[in-house]
Amino acid sequence: MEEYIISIQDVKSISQLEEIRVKVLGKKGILSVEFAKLKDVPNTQKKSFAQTLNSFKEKFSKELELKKELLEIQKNEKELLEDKIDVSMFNSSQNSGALHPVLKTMDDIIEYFIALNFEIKEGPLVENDFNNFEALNLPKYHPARDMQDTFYTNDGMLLRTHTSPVQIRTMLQQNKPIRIISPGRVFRRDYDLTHTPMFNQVEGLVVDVDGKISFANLKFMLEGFLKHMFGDVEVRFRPSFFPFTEPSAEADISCVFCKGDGCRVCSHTGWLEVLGCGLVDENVFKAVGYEQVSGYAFGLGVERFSMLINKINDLRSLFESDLRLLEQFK
Amino acid sequence: MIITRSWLNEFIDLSDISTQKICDTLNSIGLEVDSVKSYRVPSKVILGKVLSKKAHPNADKLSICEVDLGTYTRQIVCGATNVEAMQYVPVATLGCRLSDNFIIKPVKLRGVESDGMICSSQEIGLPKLNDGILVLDKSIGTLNIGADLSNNIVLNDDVIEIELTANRGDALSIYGVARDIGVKLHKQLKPIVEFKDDHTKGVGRVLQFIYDNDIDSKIGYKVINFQEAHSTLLVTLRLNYIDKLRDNIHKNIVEYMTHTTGVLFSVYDYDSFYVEAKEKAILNVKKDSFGCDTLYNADEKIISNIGIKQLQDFKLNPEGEKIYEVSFINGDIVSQKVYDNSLKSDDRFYKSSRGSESNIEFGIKYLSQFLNRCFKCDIYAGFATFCKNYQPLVVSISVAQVENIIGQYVSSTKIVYILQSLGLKVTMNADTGEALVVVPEFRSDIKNINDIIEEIVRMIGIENIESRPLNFIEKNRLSSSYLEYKRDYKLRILSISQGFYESVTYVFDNKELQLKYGFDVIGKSLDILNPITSELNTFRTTLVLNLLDAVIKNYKNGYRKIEFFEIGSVYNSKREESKKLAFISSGYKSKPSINNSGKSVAVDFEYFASKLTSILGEFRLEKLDTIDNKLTHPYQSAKVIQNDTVIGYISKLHNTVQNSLDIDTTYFAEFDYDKIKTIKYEAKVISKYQSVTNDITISILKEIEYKQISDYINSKEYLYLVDFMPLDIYDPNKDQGRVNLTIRFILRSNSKTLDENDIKSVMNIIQQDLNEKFNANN
Repeated sequence: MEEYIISIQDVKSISQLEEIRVKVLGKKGILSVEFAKLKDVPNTQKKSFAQTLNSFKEKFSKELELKKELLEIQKNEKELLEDKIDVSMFNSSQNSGALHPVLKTMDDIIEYFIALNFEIKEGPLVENDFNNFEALNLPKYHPARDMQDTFYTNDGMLLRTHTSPVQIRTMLQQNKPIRIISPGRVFRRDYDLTHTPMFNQVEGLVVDVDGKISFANLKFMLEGFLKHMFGDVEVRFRPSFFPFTEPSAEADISCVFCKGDGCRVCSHTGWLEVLGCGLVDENVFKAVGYEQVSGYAFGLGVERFSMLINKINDLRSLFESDLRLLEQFK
Repeated sequence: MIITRSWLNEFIDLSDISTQKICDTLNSIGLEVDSVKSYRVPSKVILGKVLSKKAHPNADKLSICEVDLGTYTRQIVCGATNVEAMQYVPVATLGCRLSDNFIIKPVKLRGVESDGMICSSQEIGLPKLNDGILVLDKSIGTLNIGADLSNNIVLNDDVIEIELTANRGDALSIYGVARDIGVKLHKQLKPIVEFKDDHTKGVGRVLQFIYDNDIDSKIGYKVINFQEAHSTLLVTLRLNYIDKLRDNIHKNIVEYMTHTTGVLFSVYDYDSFYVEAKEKAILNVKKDSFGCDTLYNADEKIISNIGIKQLQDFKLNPEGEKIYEVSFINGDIVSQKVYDNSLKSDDRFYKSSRGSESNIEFGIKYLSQFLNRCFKCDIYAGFATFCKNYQPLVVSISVAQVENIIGQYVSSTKIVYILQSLGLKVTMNADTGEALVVVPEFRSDIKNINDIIEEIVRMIGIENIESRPLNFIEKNRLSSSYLEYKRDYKLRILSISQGFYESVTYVFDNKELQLKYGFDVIGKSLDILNPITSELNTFRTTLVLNLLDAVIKNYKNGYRKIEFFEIGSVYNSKREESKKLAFISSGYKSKPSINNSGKSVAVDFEYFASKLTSILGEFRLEKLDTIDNKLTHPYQSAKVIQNDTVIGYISKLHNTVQNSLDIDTTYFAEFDYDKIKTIKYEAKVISKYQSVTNDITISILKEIEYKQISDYINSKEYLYLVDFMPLDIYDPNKDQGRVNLTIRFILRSNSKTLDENDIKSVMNIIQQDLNEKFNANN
């Protein structure tokens, strides 16, 4: 009988193993045949006869189990091996698109101001002269109107040159306190290396009672904002001029390319001009009928932010739906 | 606005201030420095005097000069045609390094020894001022022979370009910048060396100035008789820096004076106004037909509009008697006049409208001392003048207001110092901290308290204002715009996850293309008056044309899988703005890769529409009743319907358009943003029992649209039916006009497990109904 145990070693498959199992342990297997002989064995030998058979059965079963496990492991391994692929061939760039870098930057800007409890306000792109200029302390003859080349329509309307008309609309609709940002597209009649006829702005306006809002508050807000957008940069403010704010300032950050050492991008000054701001001019408040108020306003070009953050060097490429650029922003 | 260090130094002592410090200060007071350019004469270039000049024996174009270099003389061969004896010239002496690989050594030029080089302006590091060598004159300082020119402050200058904001007319001159920077640097302005007006003849003897009393200007006239007039190096060099070098000495003087003092200058030939009978020049200033202050001559000919333009460009002889004019007119008055009457204007309007220097007497004084110093001329005593009486603006401010607005305390002493240094008169009540500020005429930009505070902010420096958070009352600020932004954001993220790239295109479009493809166009009366190019000559009425353009461009760049979306404003024919969302897919479903064994498959309807459902949520499609535009494919286009509302359309690009544009198979869709459903989730009861699937095949006429069948099934409200869908369509006998349609039905009950009988009875009814309704078996 021992030969059956030895034969297990040569088995190559689970089915072969099963054949041997049936041959030995099956209903008509040799073990059944041997046990049937028990009744003919003299009583004195019965015990040892049975013991021999049982110990054989035990040993055989154990060997069988071991072999089965081994064969299953081998089978499994073979199946797994058949599944083998070259994972390094995977190409993740196949299926997803990407947000536009400018609008992604806009998202980041909006995120900051939402976190600071600003309200988002939007307005129409086609505007009237009052909302875009007059109410913002830009009378028709004002030399500062040279700063903006405007698209007009045949019925005397214009394409807004900044999102400031949204500030006017909001002040005409609501009372103080006001705490808004107005993101959106704006238009200037200009097309060259650094100008496109359409671009994106975000402007902010905060209005409260007279004497409450100071230049120091404006500075606080914008310093935090610029660090949120550009990381660890230095921020500096320079006095400047905008018709709708007084005092006015421009904010610069230390150059993100050369860290302030001076390079081509910052015209070797070490600083990059990134936004304009100031306290709201009293003529603007007068135009919307506000009295006894104070407030600050600021505005920035989203494309400029995006170009600095994403190191994009051609403004115009942003509006050309060029996959060579856009697929870099997956 | 361009200034130079040495020019500024005429008004304010900068000897202990570095150029870097000047720039930092300018930036901090709101005069933004755009660029700095330094000019440096190399060392060992010294001032020499040409003692004699003789022709070179072996070369026509060379001269042999004996040059006095102070302690010694040298023979120098010079190739310039303009070299003459008695000239003062820059000489590069032996060992002088003019450039990296050009060092002056003793040489023989055609057999003649030359120990040094007489230089042109460029050779000593200056801009090109003339052909030939540079001739020096006393305008650059005392001419000490042998002096090292690398120490001369006029020749070694730093040229600073400032980007001046539109409100700062007061800083449109060297004097104005000096006044401003002086306050910040705590430096007093230098007094002007006054010219003693001791000419025997007064201006009144030779000139009669007639004016109307209603004119708005301040005007002054001075008569000068020039015996000889050559431009000086100082003027030529500085006008070159500011790019105002003109062809006439007097025009140069006018440019130089205006730039230096900020006062508006003009110059005329005396003869142009001379009236023989009166033996005088007669100048008449009165209003013209537009109401502008205007200078007429005795023949009633208009010569100039004060502060706007000069109408007659006179020939100006260098020598002889000249009339110099100084003027001032309020910027708002001229701006209004020019705007109201659409008047043409020249350079002077740029200055007058922004606010020129109002102190015309200062201009006259500066002119007199300058001419006396640099020219051989007789200056007539006094000047003929008219000054409109100025009613100064008075603004009251208080220390408390200043603190509120800036957010930081500024002492009354400091406020008074800053404002007075800037030329504002202040009377401060030290007890109450209240003050009255009188605004000078040249600061027409200062109109209210905030304008005055801006001056204080500039001078204390924004960097010295401590940032402070604002305390405000919290409030729900989730406006509808914010909710819409969030919705946008979600749609954008879903779109990119489906492989679309976000596109931002101009809100403009090409009207001819809109017409060609049958899109809405804006009525002419509402259209853009001054478009920037013909390709962008109108408002867009669809996003699709811009996306199609994106496909064409990227196809040309070699892309074969091009997918874009855009959310943006479009206009209807009445120019009403609305928001749309559009998609385009062109070329392959996926790029050739290992996954598809390099065989890409072109996009198809199912592929495109499935992506859109993943983005927009469930919708159903119905055949387009009317074809709106010529881009849509007649047999692969559909209305997209959500909640029984048509939210947009989807289509294959028409074959003829695709072929003419030479691009791949393309699908596009455009939706009305506001109609896309915002999902309100409402859960239904979940059945505990299993659902059963059962298929029915019917034979129908080919023309029958599935919509008719589905509408019919829906209308019957069969028991247990929870869903059904087309499963297969099979055409057993081609061209027989009938097809076999298999529909799958899903049945389920909320109260029990359906048994064979339940299912059979429902399915039999459905089969029977369909057969009857669609004549399925015949």
